[in-house]
Amino acid sequence: MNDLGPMLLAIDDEPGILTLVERFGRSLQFNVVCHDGAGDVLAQIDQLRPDVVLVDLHMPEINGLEVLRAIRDLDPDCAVVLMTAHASVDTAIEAVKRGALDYLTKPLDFDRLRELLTTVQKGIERRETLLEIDADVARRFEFYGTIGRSAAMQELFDSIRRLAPHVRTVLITGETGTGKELVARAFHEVGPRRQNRFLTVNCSAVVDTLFESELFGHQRGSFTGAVETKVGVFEHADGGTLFLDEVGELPSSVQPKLLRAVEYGEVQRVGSLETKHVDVRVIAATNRDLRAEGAAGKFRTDLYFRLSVLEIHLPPLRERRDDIPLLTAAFVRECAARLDRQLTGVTTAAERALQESQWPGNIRELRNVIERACLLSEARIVGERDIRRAMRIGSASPPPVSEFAPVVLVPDTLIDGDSLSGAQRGQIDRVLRQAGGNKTEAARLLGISRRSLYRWLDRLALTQPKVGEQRS
Amino acid sequence: MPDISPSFDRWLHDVKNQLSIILGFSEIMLQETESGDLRRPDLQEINTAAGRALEAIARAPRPEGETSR
Repeated sequence: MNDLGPMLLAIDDEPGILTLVERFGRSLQFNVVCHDGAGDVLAQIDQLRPDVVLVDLHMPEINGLEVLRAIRDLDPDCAVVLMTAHASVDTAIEAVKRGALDYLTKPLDFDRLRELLTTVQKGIERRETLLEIDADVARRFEFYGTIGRSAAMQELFDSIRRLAPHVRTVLITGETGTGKELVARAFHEVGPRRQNRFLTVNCSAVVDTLFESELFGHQRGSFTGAVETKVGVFEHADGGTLFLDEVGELPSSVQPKLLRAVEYGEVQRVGSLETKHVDVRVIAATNRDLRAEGAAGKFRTDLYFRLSVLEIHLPPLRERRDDIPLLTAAFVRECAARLDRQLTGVTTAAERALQESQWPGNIRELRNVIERACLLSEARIVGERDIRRAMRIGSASPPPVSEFAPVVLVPDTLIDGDSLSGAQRGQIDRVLRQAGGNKTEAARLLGISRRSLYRWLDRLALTQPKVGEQRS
Repeated sequence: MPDISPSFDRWLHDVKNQLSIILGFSEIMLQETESGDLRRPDLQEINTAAGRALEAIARAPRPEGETSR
């Protein structure tokens, strides 16, 4: 069997017809699977993933129209051709109404059948060519990990190229999942500090009482638990870039000290009288309106103005839909490489579904949906059904036990095994199984480090499942 | 739901199915056989006869008491 060829599924209760269709389909380079009657074939559609189904209209258990309806529901991308030795106008009209590609009478007109199968073949080839073009365009429109050919994104890349060598503070705003950290990294990579450190602090993940110590360090014995002197991230990033993600979460008690560090490059470890000078470019990011928060007294206005010397706003994905095909192509390519699968992209119907979504979680959400769909898909081109399933899984709360869902995990520093909910345990267990026991892949899907995952596993006493092991 | 209940229609359906197989295979074999192949005239006979049989059953009178569906 040619794995790369399109798949033709033939369903008839007459074995001679099946052999005939198989012979004909193979001559056109189709992989042909024959099924004697419709019986349990619908349960196998998921595994077979045919590109085209040739189904007899009159069969004892399930008739062709019912098979047609079920396949259109299961996989809208699959073409269905009905064939019959007892044609009638009624059934022909019904078949077309239900979305059949054609309705053939027996004896089969091989010229017409060849035409239909060639149409399916050409459709797949055209799609694959388009997907290759999308993947190529995505590569060409990639800017340090951020992909975008929309006017807004091209303008953004130009700004980064022009300003990165000069600016010392940048504020990146935008909804969650719009790629703020990638833009921050691009600033670092394009600028003169690229040889030095790029450190990230997620302000929403640090305990309030530890913030000052995290940013500026502490002296041994300066507070309970300070058993050793610690260098803060400002000192550690000296000469490089410090990315303060979710800066809007910064406690008000730390804000004046951050202002001093940003404005004068002065930092003071907790418990020390000595002021140190550092040379750090600070890039802050937030999904909040810091100007409004300043006006409401929730964020220091002077710190906001200092951070926003250059303010970059990242548009939400719904405002740059033109980039969805490119982002999709790039994510599918990544998944294919990671899963060692021959995935070339998504079908036209799947792309339409992706275009229609609102993407409140933006690029992160799109990426998660594509990853889940790639895991679910058995075909080379991911279909609409897998995309919609992946979308449903992402939005369902709580997800069905049998399906994969993303999990919200707290950073390493906040891990407390006792406070874990059963749902979290279940999700980690499920993701591990989905990844076939591959912890690196599971950690990546969970959005945590591999080390973190190991700590979770230790605390939860979860063991690595054997590959192929299924939940009962 | 499409159904073929009258026995004549059922018979017609089954015969057409079998003739489709004969016609289909003979057509494929004719395409795969070189023009000088000695089996070619025989295959052509099979194919033509099956075609005529199809025409004949299309003309077959419907038994009394059975209406077409």
